Amino acid sequence: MASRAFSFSIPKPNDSFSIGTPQKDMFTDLTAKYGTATSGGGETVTDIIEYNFGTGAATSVEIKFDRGFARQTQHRALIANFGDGYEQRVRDGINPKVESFNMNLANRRWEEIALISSFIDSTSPSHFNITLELETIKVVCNAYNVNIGHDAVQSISMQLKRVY
Amino acid sequence: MSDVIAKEVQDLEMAPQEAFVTLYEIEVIEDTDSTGQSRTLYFHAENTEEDIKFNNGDTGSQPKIYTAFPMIMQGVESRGDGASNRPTVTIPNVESILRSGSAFDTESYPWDAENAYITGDVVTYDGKQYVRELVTTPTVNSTLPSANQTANGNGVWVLATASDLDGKNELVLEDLIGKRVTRRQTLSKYVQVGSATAPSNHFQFPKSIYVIDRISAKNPISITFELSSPFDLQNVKLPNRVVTSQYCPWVYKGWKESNTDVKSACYWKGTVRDTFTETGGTVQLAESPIMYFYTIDDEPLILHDLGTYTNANTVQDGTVSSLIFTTAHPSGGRNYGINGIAYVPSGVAGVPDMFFQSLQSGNTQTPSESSNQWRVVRVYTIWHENETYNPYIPDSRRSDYVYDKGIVYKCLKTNTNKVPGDNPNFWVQADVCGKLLSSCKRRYQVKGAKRFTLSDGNRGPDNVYNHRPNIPLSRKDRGSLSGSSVQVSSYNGTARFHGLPKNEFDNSISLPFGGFPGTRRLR
Repeated sequence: MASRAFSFSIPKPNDSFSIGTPQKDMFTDLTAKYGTATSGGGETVTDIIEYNFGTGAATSVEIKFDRGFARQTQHRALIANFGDGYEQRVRDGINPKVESFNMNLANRRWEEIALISSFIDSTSPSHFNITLELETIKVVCNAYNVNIGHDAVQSISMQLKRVY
Repeated sequence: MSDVIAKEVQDLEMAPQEAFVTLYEIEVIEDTDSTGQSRTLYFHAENTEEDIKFNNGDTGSQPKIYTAFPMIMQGVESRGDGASNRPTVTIPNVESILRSGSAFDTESYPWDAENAYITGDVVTYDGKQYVRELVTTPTVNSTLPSANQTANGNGVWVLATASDLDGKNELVLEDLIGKRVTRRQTLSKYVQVGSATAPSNHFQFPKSIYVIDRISAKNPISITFELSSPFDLQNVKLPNRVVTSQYCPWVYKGWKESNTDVKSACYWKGTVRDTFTETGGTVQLAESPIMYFYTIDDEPLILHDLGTYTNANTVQDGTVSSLIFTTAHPSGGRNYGINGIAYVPSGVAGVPDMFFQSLQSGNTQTPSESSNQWRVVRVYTIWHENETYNPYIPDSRRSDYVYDKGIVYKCLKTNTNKVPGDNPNFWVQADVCGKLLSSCKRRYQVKGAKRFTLSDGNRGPDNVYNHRPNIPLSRKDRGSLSGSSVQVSSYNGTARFHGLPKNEFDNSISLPFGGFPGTRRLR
C-alpha cells in the first residue's frame, strides 16, 4: 500500500517535447527567465533543472506541501424551507462537493520556487493532479503568491480549487 | 413524471446518492418521425467532464449519452396565469464544437445542420448528384431519384448543392432558432457517470420543452438564447388554418406519409382509390396504375396519342376496340354513345379544334360548351424533344398540353426541346386543382370510362382506357414516340396508364376537402 502523502509532482522540463506539453512549456518559460548561457554563474535553466531533478534519469519531482495545508469543503444542496421549520434537502447535481485548498511552500531554494511557479504558469488554466492522503484529485490554480524573503530563499503560497 | 420518482421526491430526507441531475437535449434537425437518433444533441452541465448515460424513455431502452457541455438554463417556471415565462439558455459562443469532426457530429450519424441531409448519402442519377432528405432510417437506397420523388418511403431526393457534397457541417448558432430544447431532471441514481452501463429505467421529473425563439445576447464568450413555450410563437395561430367556405386551402396532392405538417391533407395520387388484392391469402394494398388529370376548370385531360379519327356515324359506347375521336359533321346527324369523344373541326358551329365527351348515350346534339350533354376535354401528347409546341394566345385553355414524368404541362411560349419540368418560363403545370368541392369530387371519386382495347393487345383492369408501356429503363418516366406506336411512362418503377374518366362518381369515397362548406359567409 502506498504511503499517505500531501504532494504533487512536476515533470522535468525538456526541450524535446512538443509544444503544448508542460515539459516543453516549462522549458521555454524558464529559458526566457533565466537564459541558457553557461556564463550565468550557475543560474541558467540547466542549473535549475539539475538542482531539482539531479543529473540522473528522473523525469519528475515530487513536491510535498508544508505544514499548515488547509482544506475547505462546501456542499451544494437544494433546500426547500417549509414554514414549520422542516427542510427538504437534496444534493444539487453530480459531484456537489466544492473543495478549495491553501497550500504553502515556505523557505525553499529559489530554484525550487522557480520550477513550481513555472509549472503553474504553463499548466494554467488547465488542471493538474495532487495527491491527498491516498487519493489523487484534479485541481486548478487560479492564483499564487511568491514571497522573496531572501535572494536565494523564497516562499510560495497557492489557492487551489478542486475540479471533476 | 414517473410514479416512482414522484413518490421518492416526497421524502423529507433523501439519500446521499439521490442528487438532482439536469440534462439537456437540443434538437438540431426538426424531428419528422419517431426514429430520429442523429437529430438531437444530448448535453449535461453537471460538475464532471465525464459523459452521463441516461435512458430518457423516448426511444426504446437504449440509454442516451449526454456529453459534458458548459450551458445553463435559467428562469424555468410554471405558472397558472399570466404570460408563459421565457427562460434563457446560455452556451459558449463557439460554433465549431458542434461542427464536423466534433464529438457531437461523429457520435452517431453524421448530420448536416444547414441542409438537414445525411451527408454522404448521395447518389448519382442522370449525371447529377442527389442527396436524400433525412426522413427515415438512414440507409442508402438504391432506387434512382427523380425530383421530389418519394422512394419507397426512404426519403425524398433533392438535387445536391456544393455544401451538401463537401461532407462538412456548416452549422451556425443562428440555425438553432426555432429548434426545441428539452430539459430533463432526474436523480443521480438513475444515471451513470462514465462508461459503465446505465440503469435501464427512465424515472424522471416532468420534462420541459421550449423552442429557441431569439438570440437575446451574444458576446465573444457566450450566446444566450431566449426560449419560449411551443405554443407561444408569434404569428402562429391554432388551428393553423384559415376557415373558408368555398375554397380548399390544402396543397394539391400535398400530403405525404412522411410529411406531418399541416399544409395539406390532400392525398390524391391522380388515380382511382387504391384497391386491395389477395395473393395466396395475403391481402395487399395495390395502388391503381391509371392516371387521371384535370385542368383547373375540372376538364379531363386525356392522351391524344392513342386516338384515331373517324367520320363514321357509330355509337361510341365503349364497346369499340380503341379510342376513337368521331369528327362532328357540320350538319349534325352523328349519334354518340356515352363517354364517346367527339372532335369538332373548324367549319362546324362553335369553337374549332375542340374535344368533347358525351355524357349520355344516344347523344345526337352538336357538341358545344353550353350543352349539358357534353363536357369539354383537353388532349395532351407525350412530350418529345423534337416537337415544337405552341400556346394559343386568345384562349390559353387551348394551348398545347404535354405529358412528361407523371405531370401534364401547358405551353406558355413557343418552344422546342425545353424540358417541361425544368423550364417554368415555357411550361406551367396543367393538372391543377380547382379548389372547389366539385373539383375534389371529380378527382377523388373518379371512375374510369369503358375499356378500350389497344392494338398491342395489353389490357388493363375493367373500365379503364389503358395502354401498357414498354420503355427502356434509360427513358424511365418519360414517354417517347416511336413510329406509330406510343410508349408511355413507367413512373417510379410501376407501369402507369393514361385514363379517360367517366362523368360518374364513386360516392363511397369521402373527400378530404379542406374548406368548410357549411360556414356562412361573413360580409
